[in-house]
Amino acid sequence: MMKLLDITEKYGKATHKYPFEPYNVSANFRGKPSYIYDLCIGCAACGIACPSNAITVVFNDDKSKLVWEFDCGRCIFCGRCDEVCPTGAIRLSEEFELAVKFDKSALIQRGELDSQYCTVCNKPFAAKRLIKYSFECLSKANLGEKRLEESKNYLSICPTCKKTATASNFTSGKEMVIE
Amino acid sequence: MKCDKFIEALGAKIKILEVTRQYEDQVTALVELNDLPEAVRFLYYDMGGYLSTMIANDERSINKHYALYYALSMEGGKMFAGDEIAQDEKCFVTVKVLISPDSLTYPSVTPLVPACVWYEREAYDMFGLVAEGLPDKRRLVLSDDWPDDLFPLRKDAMDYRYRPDMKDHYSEPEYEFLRPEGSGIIDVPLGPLHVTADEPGHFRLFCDGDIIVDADYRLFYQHRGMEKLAENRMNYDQMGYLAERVCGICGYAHAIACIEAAEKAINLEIPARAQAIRIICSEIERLHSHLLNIGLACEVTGNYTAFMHIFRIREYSMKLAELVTGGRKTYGNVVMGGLRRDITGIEIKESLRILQIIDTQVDEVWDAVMEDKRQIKRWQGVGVLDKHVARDFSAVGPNIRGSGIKRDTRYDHPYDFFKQIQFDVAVVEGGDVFAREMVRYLELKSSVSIIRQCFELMPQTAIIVDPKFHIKPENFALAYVEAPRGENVHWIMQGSAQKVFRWRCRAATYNNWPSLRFQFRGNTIADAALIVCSLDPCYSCTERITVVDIKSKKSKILTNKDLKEFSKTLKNSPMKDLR
Amino acid sequence: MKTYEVPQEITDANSLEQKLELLKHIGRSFSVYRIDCGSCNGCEIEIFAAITPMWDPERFGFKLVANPRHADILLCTGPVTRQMYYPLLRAYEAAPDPKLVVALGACGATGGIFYDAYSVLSGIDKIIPVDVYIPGCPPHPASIIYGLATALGIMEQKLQKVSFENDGEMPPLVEDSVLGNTLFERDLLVASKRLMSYVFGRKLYDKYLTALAKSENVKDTKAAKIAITEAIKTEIDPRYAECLGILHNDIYTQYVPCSEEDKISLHRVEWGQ
Repeated sequence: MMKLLDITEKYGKATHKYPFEPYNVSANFRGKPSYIYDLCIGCAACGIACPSNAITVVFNDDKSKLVWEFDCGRCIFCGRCDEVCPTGAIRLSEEFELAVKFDKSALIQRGELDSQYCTVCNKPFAAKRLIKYSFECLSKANLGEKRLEESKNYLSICPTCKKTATASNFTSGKEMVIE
Repeated sequence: MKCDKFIEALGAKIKILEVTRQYEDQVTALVELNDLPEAVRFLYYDMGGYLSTMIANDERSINKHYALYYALSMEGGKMFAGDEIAQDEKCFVTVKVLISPDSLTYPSVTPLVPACVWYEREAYDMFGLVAEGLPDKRRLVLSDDWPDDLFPLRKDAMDYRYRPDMKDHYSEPEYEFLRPEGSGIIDVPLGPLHVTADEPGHFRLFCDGDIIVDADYRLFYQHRGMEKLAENRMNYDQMGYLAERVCGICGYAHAIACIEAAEKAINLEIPARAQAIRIICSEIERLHSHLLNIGLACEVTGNYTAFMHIFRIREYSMKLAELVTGGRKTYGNVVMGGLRRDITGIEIKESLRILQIIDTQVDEVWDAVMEDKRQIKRWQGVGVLDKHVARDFSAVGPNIRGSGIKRDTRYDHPYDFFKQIQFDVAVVEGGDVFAREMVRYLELKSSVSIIRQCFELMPQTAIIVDPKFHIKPENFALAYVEAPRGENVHWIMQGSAQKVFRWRCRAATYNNWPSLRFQFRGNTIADAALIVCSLDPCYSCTERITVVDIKSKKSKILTNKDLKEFSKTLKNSPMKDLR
Repeated sequence: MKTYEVPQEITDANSLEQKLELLKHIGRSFSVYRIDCGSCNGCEIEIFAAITPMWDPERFGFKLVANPRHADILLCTGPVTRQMYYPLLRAYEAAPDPKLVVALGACGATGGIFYDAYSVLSGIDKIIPVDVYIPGCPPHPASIIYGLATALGIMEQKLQKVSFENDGEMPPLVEDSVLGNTLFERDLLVASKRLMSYVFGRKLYDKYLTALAKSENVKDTKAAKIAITEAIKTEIDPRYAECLGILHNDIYTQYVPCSEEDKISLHRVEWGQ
């Protein structure tokens, strides 16, 4: 028994002073994801990777906007969204003070992105920013001028129409030469 | 190659229809339905095996049958010195049978090998496969209000989101308990736990005066339907996170075992650095879990000061986990093909500093606890697990190592980086609570040494392979990890469409529960809480206990607080005021 | 699916005004009863850790009680499993009114990762009304202390709903490539993440490009080798140092034709260290 009391005296008071003083977590602690709206391109990689579906990326009712929504109550703080995001729009911060009182909607973060309409069938299929970003990346990749012009066209076509166009180009025997 | 010797010996006694190899140390042998009990018994007792797990699978879409796989770990009986198989011959042999969907029955193995009892009960619960000759046919896993003819894990039974209606909470269904034979036994109708619901689980002790004669329990209050969820909604990258949330204390061991089963099924080799870091994280988990258990064992016997000190030291190990992985309990760094978080030099330096603190302070507190003679006397001679009972029920972990049997997955079947690490397996004779706590203390010390060795020997390779591998549907494999509580075994059969076809997750404590009633016998009620705590179930499950005095035909319901109070102070015996 | 409907007398006794009144009275000393509705026990262990001396909530009046009839606050964890649905309701009805219900963890708040499994009733607020949510999986003990302090009014709630609705339609900026081909940067980032994982791989990527930018001519293999070797020598952390060398040998050599002696040797002995 006495040895235990010796240990108590040796190590003294061990209590952290939180919440009366701030508490510092380790570097790279996995806290709440923080969303930077200006960098989001609506690719939905985070929505697919999230194990608990806390992030949803769906069109709104009239399909004029793509809505990115995150519910902190369902988040398991794994960091998969951070890992797969291509632009850095969602990064895990070190915040751990996340309680909400009486109002569950305070846990929601959302962002609305305008939809891109297909130039062939006029149905919305992606976010405008995604198409513009893809074009920007292609333009820095050493492509020829004509190739770049061609790509502007097919980036604005929805996947269904792309399939139809490829099949019809192929079966009609048309050949295109691009430098 | 490994396992060939066992297949030959088995083939000499029993007709084997087909042999397939999954991994360098895993082989599956298909036998006829009627030969099943003898095949398992032969491998278990005559060739020195232990039962690792049993998987039931709905393979009607593959070969029009249901299948059962009995996976045995061939490592020697280990009941006496020399009774062990050579290190380079230890392996896993699985016995497989096919069951026709018209008959849905198979001969039960439990009369010959008692360890199979829970597995066969669960096969009935989840698939509707009836074991002929099984002594205990009660429902095991599903809730009491679940409809009788709905078997969730069959592929065509139901959507994974389907929920049968709940009953009104005043008319909750009941569970049937097995009571021992004898005169004057009382039946006390009583619902599952509550009013003092700490952690779900219900026990019944049958007593003669102050001595416990037998016990029965109702568990599985936390059944969440994860295996069906994994088959439907999760791909391989997300399964690691689901597996981690099986348990709150040994979650990481489950995550590693789950992902390694998928990796072994396609023979994927992960980089050495990733192997080393996986070991480091699982040893950190062992540190915090053993400290928790030793602290609880002190608290239950009244030693609050030691309990608080041990938890103070435990906070250092949580800080270490936070530093290395970014989270205190859910480490979340396992993916197929390696890891998703590395360790840099700065973190290694800080980790070594924290390890040194933990090492010295654990020694100080343990010396102080060992000096306390009354504490030691409360632990000695209590809850003895007999060697033969342990052998019959395939117990695992510190539970069996405290009875003098040297069973440790890191030593028997080295996985990941353990092939290059040196460490001693902690084995103590005695079988009582004191021996088990001693085993945990020795393991704490060896964990610190393993982590240090890993830091030194970690090579500078990448931590994840180039993702150019392919999933192969219908390949299956076992993976095994030594969690703080014992051997965790996961079995995965890969499916098409990026999802698993079947995932069977067997936690360590699953093998330890059936032998618990033997540990209760002959002890006083005061020690019941202590025995369950030393078994180290995933957090103490001593909840609502009913005390039934056989002789006087009276009973009383005890709460967790009453029982702990009695255990700590030995006053206010619950045997007073029975009605 | 039909589940519990809160009886009228309990709803009447638990209006917002009465709860705020309760908070005024229990501000210095409140009793908490813990209910585990089928959680994995991670949250339970963190509650346990939050009661130990390092965090010590008894400083501001926290007291754990053994009976829901003594409780002011019910602390619930776990997505409600079918088997624990009944005990939860009995405890809820036994606790005196007015009472506060706190849902702890992702599972308690919304069902977490199990939100649509068959044996689970996705979250505590599908069964009983909940007042305070504490997200986390499991929540850090500091989070739990913060949650209780917020419930009592000692601290202010920090999280607010955020909604961005004006799309400026400007995509994020894409940097020009150092070597004139953005595929070099793409492969460099992929290799950094493979070596050191996404958390540190991004830093490795930045370090490499900063070092490369310091050389006199990026496309000259000799100048590039000198710049990277210099960065390796001044790097304190041995893991970053080693990986800078590996990156250069693997990726740079694919985009600028190099001979064997342009590769960086990874044996430190040769640099005189």
